Amino acid sequence: MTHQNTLPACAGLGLKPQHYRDALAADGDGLWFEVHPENYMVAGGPRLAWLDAIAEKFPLSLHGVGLSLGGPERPDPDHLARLKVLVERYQPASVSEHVAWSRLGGTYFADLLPPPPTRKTLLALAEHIAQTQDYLGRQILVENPALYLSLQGDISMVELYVEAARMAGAGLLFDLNNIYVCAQNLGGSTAEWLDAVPGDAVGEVHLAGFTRQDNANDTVLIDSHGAPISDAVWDLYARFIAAAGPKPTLIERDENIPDFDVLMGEVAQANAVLGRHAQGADDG
Amino acid sequence: MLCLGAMHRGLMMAEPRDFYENFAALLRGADRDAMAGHLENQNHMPRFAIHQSNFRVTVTKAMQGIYKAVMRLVGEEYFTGLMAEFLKETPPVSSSLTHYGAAFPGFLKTFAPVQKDLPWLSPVARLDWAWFCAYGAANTVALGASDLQGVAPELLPARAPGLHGSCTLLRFSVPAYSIWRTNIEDDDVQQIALEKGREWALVWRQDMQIRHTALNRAQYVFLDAIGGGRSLAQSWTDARINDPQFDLSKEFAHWLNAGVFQGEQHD
Repeated sequence: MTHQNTLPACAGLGLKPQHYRDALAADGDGLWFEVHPENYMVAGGPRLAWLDAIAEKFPLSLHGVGLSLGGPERPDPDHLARLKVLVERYQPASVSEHVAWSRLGGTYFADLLPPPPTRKTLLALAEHIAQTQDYLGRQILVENPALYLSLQGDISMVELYVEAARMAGAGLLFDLNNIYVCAQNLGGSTAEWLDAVPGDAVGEVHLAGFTRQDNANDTVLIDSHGAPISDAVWDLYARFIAAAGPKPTLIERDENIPDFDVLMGEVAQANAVLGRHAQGADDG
Repeated sequence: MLCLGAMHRGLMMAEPRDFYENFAALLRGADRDAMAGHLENQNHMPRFAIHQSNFRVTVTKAMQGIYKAVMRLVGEEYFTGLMAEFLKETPPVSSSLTHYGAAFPGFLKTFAPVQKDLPWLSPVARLDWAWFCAYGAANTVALGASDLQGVAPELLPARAPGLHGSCTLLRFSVPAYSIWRTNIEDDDVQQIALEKGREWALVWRQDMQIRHTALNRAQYVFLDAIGGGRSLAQSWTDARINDPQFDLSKEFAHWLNAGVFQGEQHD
């Protein structure tokens, strides 16, 4: 398939409207930006104008949240059409989506809901990824979910994720905060994910912070993207990059958004890890 | 033939379609019991509240970004309560929330507690929506003075330029524009007396700048006629019913300069 992921193996940043000016003025070598295409599905105006200017200067990644690939229904043709308009406008370095669902019977539930980990889901998910790629005329990456619920199924969630992408000829977007959150919430281990995810298939890594929610007899880690990246996730990142080699890495922050420079500090921290292993590869 | 293996598995694990239907019902407000059969760990039942909350909070935040004056007027708690009711009545159909919320002013108009106590809220919401529509409207070219250089003055009145696609014309039986304007522009909100009465307004985008202004009744009628495809001469006639002194040259020059007429589009 044409249009493979061409993001640089450097750290990028999720682009927020309050940072447009800073982003445009940034001069990071290898810096790239990622947006949710759903926020740019408008006919015109300032928001698209800002993205035009930023995409002119930096590689861009479109990271969708609305295709509902993990649902029982095929991706919404209207949504796909709106996505294609943006893909054609920006020719982004990467297009990605989630192993999740959000639509049923014409209602959009505005969340990344967990699909049941079954063989039946696997076939539907692979089909929906393939339909998306066929329609867009390019490969996409799919992201592993953050989970709060232990769902019944006849395969594991990691199998659903890796196998669906393989069957559809898609790449993987590997979110290390999500595997940490899953392991903590469901009582599994991050090794289950790190061991099963083929590094070669990973086209992008996501790093984000979680929020701890203490309920009566239960503590849940919420994938809020509302806090700095935790030390535990930085450790997972160092291990993964040591094993898989440098990968395009996104710093995600969607809540409690600090100044641009604070997030660029996390970008620099990720680049330091990537640099160590790029150096190691050169030396070897 | 009865397949015992499949039947056994069916008893052990609910069909995926049931999973999605039951989950969706829960997000719409049904109780969680139907999801018990889909959980491996029953201790996780209370965690469905995370997804119920995500749905409400994501949509509410998107709407707070659109309905800024409504939000400031009623406060976050009341706004969240309104959204919970609105969401039940009008859940999103598009996976992009940039198109969600058009029905909110209509909801506020008919929702009994608002209708009774806050009759100006729905009109204010219409202005918030007009601002949002102008913000994301297509970048079509507005008619400019240079477009008219070759047009003989006597032919101008027969022209029917139409309004620029970013324009929303509004009329209110309450001083909604004054209430809205002070709530989006002023740090210290002005007191607006409801006795101020009727108002008319225009919201549009000039290049990348969102603009808005109060209109008098004749201006509203004039621009409304232009928007309906009537010629400048016909629109002037309509406006003079309300204001016999309505000055076509002055008004045309003013609105041309403000970029509210639709220009000729060139690819």
